Amino acid sequence: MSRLEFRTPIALPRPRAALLMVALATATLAITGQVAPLVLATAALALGVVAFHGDDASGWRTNAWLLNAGLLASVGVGAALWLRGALTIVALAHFAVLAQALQLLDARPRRSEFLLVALAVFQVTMAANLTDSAWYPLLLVAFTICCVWTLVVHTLRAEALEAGELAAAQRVLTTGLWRTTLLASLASVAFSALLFPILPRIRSGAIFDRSAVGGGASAGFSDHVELGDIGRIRQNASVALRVETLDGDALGPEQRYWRGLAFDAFDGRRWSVTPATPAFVYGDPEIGVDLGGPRRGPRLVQRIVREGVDPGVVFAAGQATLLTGAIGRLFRDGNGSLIAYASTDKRVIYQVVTRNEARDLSADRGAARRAASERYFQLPALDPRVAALARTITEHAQGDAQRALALEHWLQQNGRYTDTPPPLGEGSTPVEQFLLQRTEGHCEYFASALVVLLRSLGIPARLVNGYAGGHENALGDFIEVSQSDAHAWVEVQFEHAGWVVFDPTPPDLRLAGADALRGVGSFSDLASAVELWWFGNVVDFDRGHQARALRALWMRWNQWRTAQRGGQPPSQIAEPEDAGDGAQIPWKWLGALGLAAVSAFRLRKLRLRRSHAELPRDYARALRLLRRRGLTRAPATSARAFASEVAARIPAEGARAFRSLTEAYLAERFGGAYPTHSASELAQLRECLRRSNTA
Amino acid sequence: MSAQPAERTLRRRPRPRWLQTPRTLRPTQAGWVFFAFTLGVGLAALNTGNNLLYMIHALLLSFLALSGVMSESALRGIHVKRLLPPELVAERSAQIAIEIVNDQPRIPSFAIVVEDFVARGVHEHVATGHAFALRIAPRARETRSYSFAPKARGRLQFSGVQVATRFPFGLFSKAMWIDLAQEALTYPALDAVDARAGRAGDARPAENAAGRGGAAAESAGLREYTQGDSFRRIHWRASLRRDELLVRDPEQDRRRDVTVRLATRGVAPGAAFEADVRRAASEVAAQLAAGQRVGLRTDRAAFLPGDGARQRALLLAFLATLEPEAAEDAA
Repeated sequence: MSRLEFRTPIALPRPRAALLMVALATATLAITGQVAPLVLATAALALGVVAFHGDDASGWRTNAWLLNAGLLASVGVGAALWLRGALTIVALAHFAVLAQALQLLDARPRRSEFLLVALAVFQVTMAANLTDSAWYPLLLVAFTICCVWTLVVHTLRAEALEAGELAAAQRVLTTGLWRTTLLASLASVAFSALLFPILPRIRSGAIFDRSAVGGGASAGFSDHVELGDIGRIRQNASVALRVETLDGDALGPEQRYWRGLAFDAFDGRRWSVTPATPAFVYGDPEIGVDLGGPRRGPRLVQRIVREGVDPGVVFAAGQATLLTGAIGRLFRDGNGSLIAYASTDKRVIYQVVTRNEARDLSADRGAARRAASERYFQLPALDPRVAALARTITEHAQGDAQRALALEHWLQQNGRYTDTPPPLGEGSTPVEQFLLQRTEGHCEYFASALVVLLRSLGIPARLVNGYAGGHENALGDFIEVSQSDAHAWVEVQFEHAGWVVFDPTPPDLRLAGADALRGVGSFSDLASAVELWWFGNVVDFDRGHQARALRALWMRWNQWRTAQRGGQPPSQIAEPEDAGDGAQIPWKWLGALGLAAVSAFRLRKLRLRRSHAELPRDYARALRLLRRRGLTRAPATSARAFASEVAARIPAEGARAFRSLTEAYLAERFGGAYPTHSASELAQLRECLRRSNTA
Repeated sequence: MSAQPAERTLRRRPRPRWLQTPRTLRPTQAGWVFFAFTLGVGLAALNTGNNLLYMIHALLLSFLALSGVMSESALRGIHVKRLLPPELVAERSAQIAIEIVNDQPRIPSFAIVVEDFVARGVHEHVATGHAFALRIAPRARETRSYSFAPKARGRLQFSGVQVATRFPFGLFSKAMWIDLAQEALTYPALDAVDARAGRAGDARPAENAAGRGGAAAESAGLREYTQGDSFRRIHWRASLRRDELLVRDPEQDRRRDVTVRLATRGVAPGAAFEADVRRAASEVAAQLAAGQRVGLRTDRAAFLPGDGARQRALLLAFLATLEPEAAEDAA
């Protein structure tokens, strides 16, 4: 009979670890936000029933018809979702959750827990396709521990059942075994962490490449601006960007603007872009795309982790000149906005180089660029009092720059920031109402008003939507920008300075509102820092990282080898940060430690091998003792014959002890007996010999 | 009628040292599924570049490694001893004890199955049974036994044991082979025989031969004539044959020498001969059990009557390996 498969049905309740494992598997899908709450509730209900009632083998839980009907219903739910256009993987996730719940409820005797474990692993795998949340690895580790324990319990139970020793199985499941299993599980997780970076990254896309990761696009951004919308967006405190400054001076809170889309066409209520179709930017962003742009001004390099946003806008702190990152094909519209449509519903990480000059308008005395495109002068039909207001505000200003500054200052001083603008009155547009009646509104009102006022004076301007401000995360040394930091401002085009940023929104009030929404505290900072680390080092890990790591290793090796040969100093070979003896010491020590470990292992093996070949320890010691007293065993003398010789020459007590040692030796050497400890006989022999010597 | 369980055989061909593997690993059905799933996740990770899939793939691989380490810790340091019963009789169940020792100082062994094998041919081994121990504490020994009924008489070459475990996850069965050569003699099958009926022919006690093939029992409850014995007690036919006066001994009526005869010359090996050997062995065992002194005579060998366990072992061991002789050999 082959003992390969488990054959005996088990009618015992499932281990608690199995329930926890199922709960964790479902939790990994729950954090994706893609599974219907009703389905999750069903799974939770099934877990509750099993947790409180165990495997009650009576009634409906053993009814095959009912359970099969449930399975059909699960298939139906998955199929219906798929037919309604859901991603296949999402439909499968729904099916898996429901099938898992049914499997839990099924109280019929089962041969193994493999089906339950397989469904749980299936869920976890699908969740990997649907999320990249930093919670996922934590759930995965807990899941692994539960999974390991479930399988261990199952194996021991099934083995005991087959051997007819079921009671023994319960005795074997001790705290010690649990501790060992826990340690083994954690070791397994650690080993997988070592494996993770060395697995080959190819990303062939040969079968299909339709990732659902990212949780969909954010509601904080759109390809148009409609006055009245942004108040809702500003209630959303979820993270939009995480920005690390890699090179260049870090920007202060008042200077931090991440440009998204710029709008030129205004119909009195709604801003849009003309022409609507952006142009393709040649080049592969994964390698790096040169975007032209200004070559003057301080260079700023930032790494930005952007959440999914509609329509895949690529944010940059000003005019981008170089962009690198796996964001898919890149497009640029007529207002210089960058869009990667393929990244609309994904979290992406990219590095962008920008150059921003200080707002110095003295070079061209603030002359606006009159030759700008007509679309930056476009205005809808507005109340003539708007243009009159612009002239009134700027009557003392000299030049366009002064005028623009005066308008900005007037709005900042006279406007009142609110996320809930007053309701629109009859017969006027939001901007007219804002400028002529109550200067109350949020940033889009202020920005729209400034553009309208500037254009009414013949100064080219456009409205820009993006993010501003943000919160400095001290733990992670990055800036966290939330959806509540969504902002609108204005760009004005000057003859020499180019497009210059103007922000007419009263800053104190806006930032105060954003800070109130954001959970500022060490815990949220820590969580955000962990998330950034997770995205940067795990989710975004790719062949580039591998190549860099390999290169670093190669440099270390080269550096060490050169130093050993007494050649070029390592500092001339390695990169500046790698230079110095201090960097070499850990590698040397690590190498020495490894060598010592290998040597110890080999030595131990050698000793083990010798110990098998050599005489048993106690007998060998006895022979040494006797040799010192002139009793040497001749090569041709058998052990028993030597014992007899010895018996004739030493006292009876010692002879007995030596005979006993001889018999133990013979039993071990030739009888296949297990090594025994004969310390007492040896001590007796030694004592006897000592006494006979002194006598 | 229940079907006979299939005979489990194992082929172990001698391999060069560098090809020898200390352990064999066989995936269970769930193990194959696990393999396929791991491969699938790996391919999906390669295809999509999704690092979370890579993470799961790494975890599945480390799960395999963990399974290997834990199963190795269960097998490492295991020693086995086989303790055979005093006698093995064909077609009769006997308990074979297996002593399993865990030599490891700290790590217990779990779910250990020891499968015992006898050699058949050069490279083939046939399982005789298995013993199971759920847990063997560090530096402890557990003794288990299994029931084994040899099919036929003869020498039984126990070749070794296979120690296997499905611990920890039941995805693989890891096994190691331990050479444990041991020879056992299987006595012929013993049938229930009426000892009194076996002494066929009280009338011709010393020379009665019965049986198609010549297996017979010869009664010998006679002694030499001594002064004072009644003439009526003289056994004339035996006296003529022995050329001395023999009388029936009333004291030995209850305890007589019995010699079992078995013809071996010119008999073809096969079922008929085996049946004769079986009958003779049964007779020997029954007579000895009845307290008789039993001898055995074949065409080539003869054993003087005797009694006790030693005589039983002597005669049954002889019968266990007895082969028929060709007629010309005898000539």
